[in-house]
Amino acid sequence: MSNRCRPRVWLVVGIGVALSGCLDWLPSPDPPPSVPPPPNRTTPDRGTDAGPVGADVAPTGNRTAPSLNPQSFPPIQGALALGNETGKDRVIRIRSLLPSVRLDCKSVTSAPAAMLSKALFSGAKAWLLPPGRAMPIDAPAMVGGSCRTLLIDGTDLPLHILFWDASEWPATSMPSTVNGAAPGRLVRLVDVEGSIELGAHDAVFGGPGTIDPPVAPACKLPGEDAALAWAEPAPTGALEITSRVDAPDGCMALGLKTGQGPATWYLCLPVGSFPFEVGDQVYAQVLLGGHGDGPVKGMQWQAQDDGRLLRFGIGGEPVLFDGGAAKVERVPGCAGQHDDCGTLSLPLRVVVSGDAQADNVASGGQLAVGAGVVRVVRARELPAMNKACLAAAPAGLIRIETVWTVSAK
Amino acid sequence: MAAMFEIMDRWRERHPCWPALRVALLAAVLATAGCVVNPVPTPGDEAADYSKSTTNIGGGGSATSGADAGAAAPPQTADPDESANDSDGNKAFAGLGQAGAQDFGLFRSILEAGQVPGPGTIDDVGFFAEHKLDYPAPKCGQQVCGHGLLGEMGNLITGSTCTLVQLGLNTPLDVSKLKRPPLHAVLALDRSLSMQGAPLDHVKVGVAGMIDGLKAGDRVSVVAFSNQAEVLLEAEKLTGGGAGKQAVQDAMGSVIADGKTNLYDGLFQAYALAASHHVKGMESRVILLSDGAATTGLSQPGKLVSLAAGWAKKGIGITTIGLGSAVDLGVLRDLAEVGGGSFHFVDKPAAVEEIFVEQSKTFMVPVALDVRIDVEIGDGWVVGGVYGTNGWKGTADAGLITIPSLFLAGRTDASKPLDGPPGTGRRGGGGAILLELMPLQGVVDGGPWVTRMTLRWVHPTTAKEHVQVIEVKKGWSGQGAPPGGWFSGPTVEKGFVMLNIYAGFKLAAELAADGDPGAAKGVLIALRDAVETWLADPKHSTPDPDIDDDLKYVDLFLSNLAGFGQQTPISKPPEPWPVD
Repeated sequence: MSNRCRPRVWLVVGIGVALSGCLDWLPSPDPPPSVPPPPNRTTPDRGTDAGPVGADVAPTGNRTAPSLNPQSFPPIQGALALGNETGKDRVIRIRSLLPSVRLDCKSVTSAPAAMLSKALFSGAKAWLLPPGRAMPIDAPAMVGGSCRTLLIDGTDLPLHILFWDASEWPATSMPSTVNGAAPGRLVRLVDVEGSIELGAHDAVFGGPGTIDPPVAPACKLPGEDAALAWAEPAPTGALEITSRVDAPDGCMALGLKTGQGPATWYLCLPVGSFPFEVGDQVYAQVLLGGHGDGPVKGMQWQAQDDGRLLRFGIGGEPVLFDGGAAKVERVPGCAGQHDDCGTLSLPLRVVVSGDAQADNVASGGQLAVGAGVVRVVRARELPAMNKACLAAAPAGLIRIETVWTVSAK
Repeated sequence: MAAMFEIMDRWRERHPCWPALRVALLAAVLATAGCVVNPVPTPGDEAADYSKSTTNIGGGGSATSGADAGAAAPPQTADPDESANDSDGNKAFAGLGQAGAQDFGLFRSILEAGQVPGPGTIDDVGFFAEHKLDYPAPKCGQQVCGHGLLGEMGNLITGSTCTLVQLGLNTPLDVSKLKRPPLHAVLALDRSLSMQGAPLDHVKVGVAGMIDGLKAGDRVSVVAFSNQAEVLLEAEKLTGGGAGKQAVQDAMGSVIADGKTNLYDGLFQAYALAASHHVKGMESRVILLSDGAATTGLSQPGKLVSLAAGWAKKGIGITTIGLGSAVDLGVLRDLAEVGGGSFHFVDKPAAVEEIFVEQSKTFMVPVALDVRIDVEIGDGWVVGGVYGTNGWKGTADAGLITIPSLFLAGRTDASKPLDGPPGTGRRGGGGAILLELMPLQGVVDGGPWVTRMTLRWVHPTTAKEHVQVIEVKKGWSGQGAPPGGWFSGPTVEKGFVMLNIYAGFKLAAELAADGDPGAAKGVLIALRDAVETWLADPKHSTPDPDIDDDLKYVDLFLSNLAGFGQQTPISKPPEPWPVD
């Protein structure tokens, strides 16, 4: 590229960091019309994340990067710096997390490459990094955590995850040259016998795979087809059920007489959990709170002339039910499953403490408690969550879908 | 997977070009025709006429040995001579289309609009379905015949060696003599505000064309949906006098665009209507036409898909037709795949008629159900990738391809020009399933076959399972193919080119989306040169309209990249399959 030394504004991926530099900069083109790319079926399975990776071998290839005088170039602002020690211009592509992604930093820190998926990251912005120069690495702050992550690759550089803690590496001013780099903050782009790699650094991890390892039967989570779901807006107040049409997938169309006139409303519940019949009159209300302090979004239907009750919800806690206490815990020995949007689900189970003993109810299970039955449709923890692909629910990283049914009149 | 990596490492040691060296287990071009009156009469050929649910045409009352479940026919060595078609003096054998995407219309329309398509706008199943691959004459004695093909050559982007196995399926049934059972077509029509104008006008034209293709005795229902669904016409019976057609036209004419998109309500009501009129011997099918994603009601895509899957198990299929670039491609594609039907994207007015004519001609009635292809990989090889199907599950040395249903593909001749009368476009090519194979180090002649495939399928009306075993053998001795490559015939060579073009499009779209148009150009330039050379090769005596047309879109892609954001330097192309 021409005009290599003309000062330009250098925009770093979604970060808003701006600085003057003597580098060619290559802002990305306008986003193309696209839909989220499907997972690549041919990639190897997810790494085991033994820890940070990088080239431990000293570069032996075209290491002809010039030793530039840091004073000749304006400094950069970032948590880390990526320095080109290869001796050639390198196109670098950097992807930041999508705005709809939330991470549980504590969990993800244990295995970034296994827990993060490429689908969690935005389209890349490409940069041309001349030899001897360094570019800033930083990422937007995340709600609820100090970890930061980027996905990086280049024309000759395979995908790597950069994952670090902003409290350990707060943004600072650094030289924009490899020469004179701040101690510990330089991630080196090196040529190891013709192969372009990132040098070893605590923040450098292997690239994310796209195929999860096989899931043990006890760890499997029901799919979206089994999810608890209902149409929005949901009718409230006094209702009369005028018709019911069942679909083969467990969802039903309920004809309702409401205060505003007739309506059709859709509800997807586990088989056997709907206690009402055509002709019943019920009172419907929005559910507030669950079996604990966690947020829950749901509904309650109560028969107007007897004790039948249906309570269902999605949130950080099971819905409230009588006759026992409830808490959630991880299912031991289970790895996670990624969906097409990159969300990682770890299976949880609901522990119900009744009068005598505690019982575990996993996803798809049910337990008679008191006068009714509690059904756990799905219970999962989402240490890496892409909200864009999840049905509306409280924003927590725990999602418990439960139904409480009292059928006796 | 550790074992897999070990295998790959061994292989890599021997092949410096490891990242690209692949055997593509190629194409199961599915070509079967179910609904034909007079197929090539072969003993045991079963019920080509679906209107006679158990009648064998041209044969006895039972299938030949090998046609029944559990009694597989002797293995057929893969087409030693692919030109077997010619021996019959007739290449007009139809392919079979899988459920799912039937075109790459959205990708094309974005290019034609002068833009750069994103990587999610093209998928292998849809791209392959717009390519007609002529297979050997279907002489297996059944109405679904499998063919195993093999090819090895340097790929068209970087030149690294690529080995493909192609499984093609075709049928002796005659598209032109198709006879099918009575049909109940339930149109689920999106009439949300975004459908106003051209999209709705196109649909009305298309439906009119489709109705013309239906016959007396068929029934049509119309469910329109916006904020909620409404039944506009219920199971109207078409008669010879045209009264039924007029009722459909009237119902369509009353549709006005307004409101949001309650997709679930529309689909649910359409299925409920289809189910309420479903009788034995009638084919019931929902045809969903929409230009966008659900914006109200029960909007989880997973629930839409599970609804379609549930009804497909009860015998009611779905065809999905997308209009406009805002369409939820993934959902419509998934619905078609699980719902035993096809997905089409309407990219231009002419496509409306093409799609609807194709639908009325072939895709309304499945030819085979519950298709399962057990794939065994011979000693000395491992699977590197599988294309042209979303139903592959497997390991390095074995796997299973499942396809819910197969349909007759409308095109019968790969060399036929594409610019004929309405309904003669690229759609209806039949598609292909390709598997890539990689050789293992130190195993030169590992076994009697490279790949063995056991094809099982269930007849839609008799529910009888049929089995065919297909073995694919290497056509050369030693480890590598002869210089210049080796193909078992021209059809697998076309499959090889088709896969390379798909890989090039996909890779270029990914690179452009990643802000590296220079690398995208590098891929397309290399691809273009190689494909042009291939087309100009005198040994290809027959013109190939599909590949010719593909090249047009390569050029268009390159042209659109010229104005695409800040330009990175044009670089040598990365391997088209970098994950190898």
